[in-house]
Amino acid sequence: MNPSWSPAWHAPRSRAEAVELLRHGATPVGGGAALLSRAFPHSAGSAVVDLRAAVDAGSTPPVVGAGATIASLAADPALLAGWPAVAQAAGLTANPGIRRIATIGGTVAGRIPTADLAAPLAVHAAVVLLETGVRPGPARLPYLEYLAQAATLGPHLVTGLDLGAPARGAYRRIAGRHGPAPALATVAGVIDREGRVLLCAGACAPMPLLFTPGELPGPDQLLDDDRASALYRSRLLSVLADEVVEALS
Amino acid sequence: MTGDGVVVNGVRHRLDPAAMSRRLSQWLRDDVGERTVKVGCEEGACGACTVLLDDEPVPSCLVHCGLVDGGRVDTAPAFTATGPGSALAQQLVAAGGLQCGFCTPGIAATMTALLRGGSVTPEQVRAALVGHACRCTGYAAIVSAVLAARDDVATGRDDS
Repeated sequence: MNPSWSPAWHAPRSRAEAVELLRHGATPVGGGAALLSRAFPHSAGSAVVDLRAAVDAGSTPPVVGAGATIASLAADPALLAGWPAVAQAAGLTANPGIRRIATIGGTVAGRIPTADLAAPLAVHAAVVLLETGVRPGPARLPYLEYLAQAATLGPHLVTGLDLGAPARGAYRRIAGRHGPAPALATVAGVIDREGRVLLCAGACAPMPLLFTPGELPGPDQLLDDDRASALYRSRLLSVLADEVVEALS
Repeated sequence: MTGDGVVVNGVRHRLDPAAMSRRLSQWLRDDVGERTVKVGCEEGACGACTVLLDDEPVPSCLVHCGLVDGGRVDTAPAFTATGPGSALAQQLVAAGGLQCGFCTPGIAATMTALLRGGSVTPEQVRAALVGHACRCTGYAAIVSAVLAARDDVATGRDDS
């Protein structure tokens, strides 16, 4: 963050007011963790929208308010029972201090490729709840579609998530070290209503990649950068997928 | 959060409009004069700037001041004055749980919150230390100090 950044601070009471401010180029702030972190260079506008009064911070699964903190999701008994892959990923996100301030809304709207929650949300076919201001009431967009289209949606407010049906699930990640190190690869898995295992790879491609056991994403689909080669990531996915399948068996 | 400013160690401080988007850590040090708040990585990884925000330990470098307007912040001089925090401060000294002291206020904030929550296991202490970097002691003495403080609190040997 530029130390001289001194934008006007707005705290709207309604979603419509928040969307209107976003339309005029204001920067949304929920928990603010990513916006302030040097690890995530953001371009900040001349005004800030404090979203706390405009979005729900509560969680009544399958619906989770955008203002819910990652720590609250990790400890939510309903989530632990019905959406364990999501709860496990929340509990492994960053470190305890960051989890207490970071919100699910910021995680989704920030579209950070290495986010731990990306793979579990995708494999659960979660739906993003949006306020666009274009038409009254919330809009709904499947999470993967949201990731693909968010840049072209125009000003919008993520108001929450619908996690869909509960399912047995598991989550595994690997990073260079414990703590807030971004994952090199993650795998989330669930068992669907027909008893099939569905898997999703995260943190190793620009978008989460859905797959089934035995049909792992190939190196040509994976990131190849200074943190890890695509080949190494494909090997990591193989191990993580085996662990998730074993946890679900 | 009501827009009434921030109560820091029991004293209310007004937030001027320019302060709303600043880091809480920066504001605490430069405007309030709370130099026990240490600034390290400024990305929430080292834990040195951790303070108690409405009794919850958070990295103050990642919190906008505007988000704590109407809230309460406690830093080391406040939470180590009495109770579990006081016991912890004494045990950190006794166990050699600090050398340069840069990480100590942040670790003390997290561990005070943990001790206030009741019974504490070694595993819980180690889990709570994730997100705190100490480059002097190697953590073992810190864990010992927290567990000794837990015992002091349980037996009434703390100052509360």
